[in-house]
This record gives sequence, C-alpha cells and structure tokens, in this order.
Amino acid sequence: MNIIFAIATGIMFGLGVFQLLRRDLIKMAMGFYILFTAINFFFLAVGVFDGNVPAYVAPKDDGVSPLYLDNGEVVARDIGMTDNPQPARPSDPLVQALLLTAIVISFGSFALLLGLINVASVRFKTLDSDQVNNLKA
Amino acid sequence: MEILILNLTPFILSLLFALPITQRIGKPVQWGWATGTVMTTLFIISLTLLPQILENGAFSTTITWVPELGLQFSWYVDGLSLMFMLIVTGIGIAVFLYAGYYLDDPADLARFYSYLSAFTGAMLLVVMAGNLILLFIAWEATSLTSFFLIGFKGAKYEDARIGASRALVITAAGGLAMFVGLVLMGTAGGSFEFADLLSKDAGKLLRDHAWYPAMTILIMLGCFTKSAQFPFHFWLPGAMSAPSPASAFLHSATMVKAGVYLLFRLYPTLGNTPLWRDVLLVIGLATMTIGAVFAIRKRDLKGLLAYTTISMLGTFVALIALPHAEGLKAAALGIIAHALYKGTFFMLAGTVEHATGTRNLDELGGLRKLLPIPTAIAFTVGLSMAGYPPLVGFVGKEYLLDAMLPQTGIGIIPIALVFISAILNGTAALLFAWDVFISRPDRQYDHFHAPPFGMHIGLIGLALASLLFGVLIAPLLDPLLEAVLGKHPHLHLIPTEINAAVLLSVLALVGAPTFFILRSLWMPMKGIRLLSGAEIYAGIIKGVESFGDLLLTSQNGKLRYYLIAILGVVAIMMFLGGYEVARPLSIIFQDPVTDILKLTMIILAIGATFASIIIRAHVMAVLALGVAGYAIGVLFLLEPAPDVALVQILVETMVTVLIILMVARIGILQRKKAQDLLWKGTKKWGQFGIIRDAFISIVIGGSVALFAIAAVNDRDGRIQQVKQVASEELPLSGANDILRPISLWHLQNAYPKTQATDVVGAIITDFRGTDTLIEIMVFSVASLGLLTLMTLPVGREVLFGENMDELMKQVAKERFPDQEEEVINLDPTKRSREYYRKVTDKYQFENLSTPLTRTVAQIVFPFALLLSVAQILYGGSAPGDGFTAGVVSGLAVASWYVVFGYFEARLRLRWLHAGRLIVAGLSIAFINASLGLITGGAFFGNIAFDGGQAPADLHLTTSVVFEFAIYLVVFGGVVSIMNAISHPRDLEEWGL
Repeated sequence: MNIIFAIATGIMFGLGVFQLLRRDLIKMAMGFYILFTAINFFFLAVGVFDGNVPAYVAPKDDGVSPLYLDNGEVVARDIGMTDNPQPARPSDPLVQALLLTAIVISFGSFALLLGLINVASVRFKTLDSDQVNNLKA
Repeated sequence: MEILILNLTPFILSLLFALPITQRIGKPVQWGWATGTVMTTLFIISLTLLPQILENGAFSTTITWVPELGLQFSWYVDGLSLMFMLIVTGIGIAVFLYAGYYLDDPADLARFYSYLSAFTGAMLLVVMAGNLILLFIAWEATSLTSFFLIGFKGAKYEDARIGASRALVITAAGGLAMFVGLVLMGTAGGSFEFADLLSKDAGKLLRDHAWYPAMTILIMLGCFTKSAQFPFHFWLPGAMSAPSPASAFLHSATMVKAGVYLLFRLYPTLGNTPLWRDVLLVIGLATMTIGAVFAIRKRDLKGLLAYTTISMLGTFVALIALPHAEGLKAAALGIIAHALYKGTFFMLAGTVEHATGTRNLDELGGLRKLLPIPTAIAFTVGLSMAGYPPLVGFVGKEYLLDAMLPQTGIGIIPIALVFISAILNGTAALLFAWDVFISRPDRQYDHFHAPPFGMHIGLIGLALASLLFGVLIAPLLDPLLEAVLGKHPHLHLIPTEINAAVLLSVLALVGAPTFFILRSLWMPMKGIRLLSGAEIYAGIIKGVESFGDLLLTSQNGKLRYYLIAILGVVAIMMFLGGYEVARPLSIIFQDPVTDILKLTMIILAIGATFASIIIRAHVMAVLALGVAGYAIGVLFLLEPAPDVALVQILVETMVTVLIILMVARIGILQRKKAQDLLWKGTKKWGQFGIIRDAFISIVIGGSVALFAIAAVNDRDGRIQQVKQVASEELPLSGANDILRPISLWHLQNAYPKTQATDVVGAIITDFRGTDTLIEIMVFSVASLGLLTLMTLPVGREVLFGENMDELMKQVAKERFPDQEEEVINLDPTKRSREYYRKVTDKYQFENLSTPLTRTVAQIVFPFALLLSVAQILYGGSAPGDGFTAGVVSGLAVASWYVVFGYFEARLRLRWLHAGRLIVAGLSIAFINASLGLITGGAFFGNIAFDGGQAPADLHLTTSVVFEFAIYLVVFGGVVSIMNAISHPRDLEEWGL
C-alpha cells in the first residue's frame, strides 16, 4: 500500500509542477499548493503507514485502550474481529507531528504567496507571469 | 601578562583613533610622539622576554576559546617570534613618529593611525600565534589592514583602488590555499598547536605523511603570495600607492616578511627535504634575480625600493631552502638588516616627496644642500644596503654569500645569481642616494618646502641602529640570534679568515659602484618586454567579468524559466539518488476494507487535482483543489492519524476561503485575460509550450516517485534491521514491530514524562517543543508580513482603530446629512446596530449577508471559542491541539468577515487585535518554556502544576500553557490574514 502512496506522491508532484508552470499567476499559486499537498503525501508514504490504531498510549491497562504502558514498555492489545485478531499497531507519531507543523506552515506561506500575487496584479496590472518581467534589474 | 599587553594594546589604540572624541584631543605631532612612546613601551616589554627565552626556551600560553571545536587562543613565543616582535615594535617606533609629521590633516592621520595600529596588533599576533587557526586569522587580518592602507587615498586615485584590491585578492587567495594546507597539517600531525607540531617526532611524522607534498605546497602558496614571490610579486609595486610610512612598515619591514616568517617557523617540521629545497630555491632565486633586474630600471623611487624588497624577500626564501639549516643564520641576520635599511629608505622617499612633490628620479637631484640630514641618513643606510663595512648590511651580505657557496650541493648557479643580485642591489642603493642627493646639483625646485626636524628623528635612530649593529654586532645581536637559532651564532664584523665568501663580498663592493658609474651605458638599453604578472592578473579578472556577463545573458527575467531550471536540477539529483536505491516493488495489502477506502481517496485526490488543472475558471479550480485536500484529510483519518486529519480538514477549509477571497480582490478583466491564457500557445512556440511543460512535469514527477519508492523501501529495510537487532531482547508484537527506536521511545515516554496520552500532541508541545516554537514564529511572521504587504505598499491607509472612526464620521456625514450632529458626537460603542447596518451594507457580499447567515455567524462564534478552549485543555488526550483550536476560532472570525463585510466585522470585533494576540502568544510561549530552566530542568522542561491531582485526561502542565500560546499565535495569525485579504483595496471602494 505504501508503494501506491509513493507513486501517488510522484503523480501529485508532477501535476503540481505542471500547474506551477502556467502563465496565470493564480494557477501558479495553486501549483504551489499542490506541491505542498504532494509533500504531505510523501510524508504519509514514508512515515505514517501500516498502523491500525491512533498513536495514543494509556498510562495503564484500563481494559479498553489498544496500547498501554506496563513497566515502561508499550503493550499492544489484540484488536479487530474476533476470528482474526491482530496486535494493535500505531502509525509513526513522530512523522505525524512533522506533518502537523508542515500543514500549518504551508498555510501561512501560501497566504503570503497569494498576497504577493495580489500586489503583483495591482502593480503590473496583469496576472500573466510573462508580462511581469521587471524582476530583471 | 606581557603577551596580553603586547597583543591588546595596538587594538585598543586602533579603537581609540577610530573614536571621534579622541580625534579632538591633541595635535597630529603629539599623536606621533604618543604612539611612538607606546611602541617604545611594547619594544621594551618584548626585550624583557629575551632572557626568559634564552634560559627556558620557548614559552606558550593558552586561553580556552571554543573547546567543543578544539579551538583555543594560544601563544607560542620563541626566539624567532621575539626577533619579529622586536622588528615590528622597533620599526614601529620610527614609523608612528614619522607619520605624525608626514600626514597633515588630523582626520586623515587618525584614520591612518587606526589602520596602522590594527595592523601592528595583527602582525604581532601572526608572529606570536601558537595555534594554526589563530595564525590564519591574524594572517588574513594583516591582509585586510594592508588593503585599507594601500587604498588609503582610494577616494581620490584609481591607482590606489586597483592596487589595494589586487593586493587583497592575491594575498587572501594565497591565504585560503594556506588555510587548507594548515588544516591538512594539523589533521595529519594530530594537533593544531605549534608547541606540539615543532617537536622532532611530529616533524618526522609529517614529512613521511602522504599529505606532505600537498600541505607543503599549499602553505608555500600562502607564503609566496604574502611575501611577493615570483610569479605573485606584482602586487607589491602596486601597493606603493599607500602612504610612505605604511609602505615602510607593511610592504618592506614587516608584513611581507610574514611569509618568510612562516617558512622559517616551519623549517624544523616541514623543511630539509628535497621538495622543500627545490621549490623554495627555484622560486626564491627567480624572485631575487627578477626583483634586482627590474629595480634598477625603475625611475619611481618607491617602485625601485619595492623591487629591491622583492629581490631581498626572494633571497630570504632561497636561504631558508638550504638543507641542514645552513641558511637560517644568514636569513635571520638579513631580515634584521633589511628591516633597518629598507624601512628607512621608504620613509626617505616619503620625505623627498613631501619636500619636492615628486618621487621621479628624472625630476630629482642635488638635494644635498636643501636636505642635509636626509642626505646623511641616505648614505648611511645606502651603504648598509649595498653591503659596505662597518654597517650591518655588510655582515649580512657576507653570511649570505657564504651560505650560498656550492658546498651544500646546490651547484654553482645560486652563488652566481646571488652575486649578480648583490651588485644590482648595491647599484639600486647608489641610484637612490647619489642621484637624488648629489648629482645634478643645480636643479631648482618650484614648490620646495623644508620638512620639520621631527620627521628625521626616527630615521636617524634607524640609521644609527644600522651602524651600531654593524660595529657592535657580537654583543648586540649574538643573544637574539642565539635565541632564534638555538645555538651561539659567533657573529663578527671583520672576517676571521679569508675565504671565497669574503673575496666575493669584496668583489661586489667594487662591482656595484663600477656598474653604477657605467649607468649611462646600460640605462638607455631597452629591456625585454615580458608579459607582466599584473597584466595576467588583469586578464583573469576580465575573464571572470565576461564569464559573469555570459551568465547574465541566460537571465531572461521570466519566472517560469527559473522554476524550470531549479526544479529540473532537483529532479535530476533526485532521479540519480532514487535510481540507485530503488528496488523491486513490493505491494503489501494489510486490511482490505481500509485499503480500498484509501485507494478511493487517493484516486479522488489525484482526480480532483487534475480537474483543478484543466478547469479554466479560477473559483471552480479552487473548489476542485479543496476536494483534493479533503480527500487527503480522510486519508489521514484512515491511517489513522486523527490529529493530522483534523488539522488538514480545518486548514483546507481556511485555504479555500482564503483563495476565494483573494481571487475576488483581483479585477475581473485581469482574471478573464489570465484564464484565457490557459490552453493558448505563444506566438513563438505555439502549442509546444504545453507539451514541454507536460514533459518536464512527467520527468520531475517520475523522479519524485522513484525517490519516494526508494525512501519507502529504505524504511522497510531499516525496520528489518531494527527487528534483527532487537530480536534478542525485545518481545516483538504490535508497536515494537514496525517502529523505529525513536518513535518507540516517544510512545513509551509520552505519558510518564508529559502526562499526555496523545503521543503526537506530546511531541508537538514537549519533545519537539522548540521546533513548534520556531514554527509558530514563522507562521506569525508570514501572517504579519501579509498584512504589511496588502495594506501598506500600494499607498493605502491602514484602516484600524482611530482613523477608522474618522472614516465612519465622513461616511455618516454623507449618508445621514440630517442626523449629522447626533451621529458624529455619539460614542462609537453606543451607536445602534441599525446605524452600523446602514453605514456598512454597501460593503457586504449581497447574497451572503442574509438574516439567516448573520444569525448563524453570531451563534457560531462563541461556540467556536468554546470548542477551542476544549481542544486546548484536552489536547493531551484527544485529537486537536493549539493549532486546530486557533484555526477553529479563525474560521469563525473568517465567517464574520464574509457575512458582515470588512467594515462591520472590524467594528464589531474591535477588541480583536491580531498583533497583540501574536505578541501575547509568543511571550507566553517563551516564558513558559523558560520556566523549566528556573525549576532546574531544561528549556521546555515539563512541569505539572497540579501535581497530577486534576480530573482524568485533564492535566495542567506546561504543555497546556504552551498549547494556549500556540492557540493565541495561530488565532492572531488567521485574524491578521483575514484583515489583510478583506481589507478594501482603496478608498474609492469606500465611496470616498
């Protein structure tokens, strides 16, 4: 399954790059956002996978929590259907934390990017990136 | 203690002269005497070290600097260091005193003294440094101060600027080569301290090391550039645009000898090998000969002196080349003698220029009567330079000839070249002394003004030293040279036996005047025109510049081409990296039900993204993008990663709102034009552009996929490794099976260390709290940056707070002329709802602002705040945390902006100040993180405020406070973004 995620990462990234290369600045900004998404996909592919319970660890065995601590060791309860029980597996919590911050940061930087496009459209009176060529000194 | 005084005093002096207040105290001449006194003190302090060194040998001191990197300030002072310290401070006395008379303008002089003192400090550090890194830093500091001194008159003269930059480029480039050599040496030798490196064992180790040739050549490059050896010699004549005292000090007596110093210093470690001998001998002799030949053809006094200096520097290098330390005695003596006479000569050139306004030999002559004291000085030091007894130069020349005799197995060529150079150097000395002061006695000078006597004092001292050191050579110089060489030198003025060296010496004494008298024969001869180093250097610089021009032509200013270039390079790198590690695919399906759902979501995400590309209308494309984002949110939920899923879905909503608001701000005509561009080719390329972009996208996407597959496979492999390692001790089941040790550690410690059952939350607020802190700072900067971007640069007024009320009054005047009084004088907070509606309805989205939406928005807002609080408090044990809480509250505010319009939303939410929220959040975050430090833990150490007594799942710890801080920042950031993007574009939109 994670291989499929890896391939999906590539497809999303390719779509993002194509969108990024449009002359329309708004489309270009969308391309950036697709790239952010593709990178989240990548994290999902390489980090958060193969789990079947959230990464929550109860302090002690309460009879319900799939994962609990016992003398400092994480113990996994069997979950799933009674005829086919599986040990509980959490997805990698560290990568999730990275993803969480990445999503918020991409939001902030995307907002800034939109602001820049807005200013460009006011100043250059166009949304065509080929006509915004005053960047050259 | 002496070491610190010696090192710090010059730098303090430099700082003092840089201060404007110091420049008002006293007069230039007094500064000259004061600085001269300081130098004298330093000279005496250095001298007191001599008995110590004679008795105990070298001594070293160390101050720890950066122990983690093995860096320390350390000093290593032995006889060699001391000799150079005495030269620097001794010549320094004369130079500083002379400069006080030479430069008239106080501002110029203060600047000059500041540079010169800094140089003195750096130069003392070069010869006293006990650590290779410290040596390098000081070395480059001398290059830098030299740059400032050469370019001293750069504001007026282009020559000075060119000379300064050329000297800096060459010496600094050589310094960098030397740095590599020093690092090689320190690594190979196992120590960066001279105290260790100069031992016999270290020397043997280094000479037998495989890196020996590389480190030696690199260090030599540094020395050759610094000491103006062929083929790098040409920067020194160019450096003559420095004021004469600086030339005397840096470019003859001290700095250019740094290279000689380092070679001398490293002789016990790296010297006495065939490589050392051959390279140094060839370069040294070539430099010596070229310098001497060029010198006598120069008509500029300082140019003549510069080339003789180059010649002498070459001589010293050649002497250090000799095996078995045969040449070191002659080199040491030569360095002292040269510093004494050449420094004096440079200052004499300055005096002559000061008095007559020229330094051209053709325009000078017969100054004997006008400048009687300089005449006497010139002849004293001139005889020393030409090597006549009883001056110190005579002894130096005799030892030089003696060392270069063929007995050490170097053949007959060196002695022949040395003999010729000795005659040419003598000729140059006579050219200066005789042609300036004696010949053409009837020459008239239009603008002559006599130099003050004080100008001569330092020079007289140096000339007397040249004489005294010759006459009383044994008592004066024996102890110093003994300290340098480690054995008694047995110096003597009168040769004890008649040998080949004495005969050659006498022959040179006769040869030089003869050659000088015959100058009318050889002077008109045309020299062979060689391509000079300066021209080669200029060519290189020009080549670099035209290469830069060439690169510039590739800049067409179109954004997309830059993106293609950047992404293309990254893609190639990723392809190469992924290609190597990608292995056959292994598709493992774990759980058919969730896997089918996941697959559906992936297809949905990709399909929606694809739709966003082909859809022309912006708003529709944005909505398609939103679908893709939600699909990914569901994917996170299926994983299961509930925290991430929550954030993803909330942020996706935020982004969709954001883009739509943003797109709406841009004029419809512009958008229409841009939309029409989508599938239209360019004139030049036609539809080829689409195919090209598609090709690039496929290549890049393919590379990324390959890279991702490689990463996934690599992780699989890593997990296998971990399993194998752990299989001995750990019972493997569940968590232990698939996680890397670090993730497992987080699972095990989340609750014991932070009282949080939500491991992701624990990582964010605690284990990687510093990351999060930086992240919220980035977010706040981005959102505040957006506010600045959207409100200020297009010349708009920022419409918050006070000026907003002003605006309201103007609107009221226009729209309610009959109620003007009442409206204007009313307290803004007491105005009726009805009033607000009437004023602001013009600025609302017509179809969004219905009674229903307004009611919903009002109801939602408090609930959103409540939900945020719950998420903060239970962040440790349930999905949701400060981020999601901030976005939830932010969404509520966003809905107000959409429903009520900017104007009314701002009026209703005047208490909501984005900047204050962000500042409060960041302050709380920092204070909270520092609490751990106070209680004896670490930054971000976790503290439980309630002692674990609070209800289950609700633990009041520093984590919760941090969540609150994150909430404030994210909320503030979202509000700031909303303010920015819904802020009216210009006042016309307000109907004003």
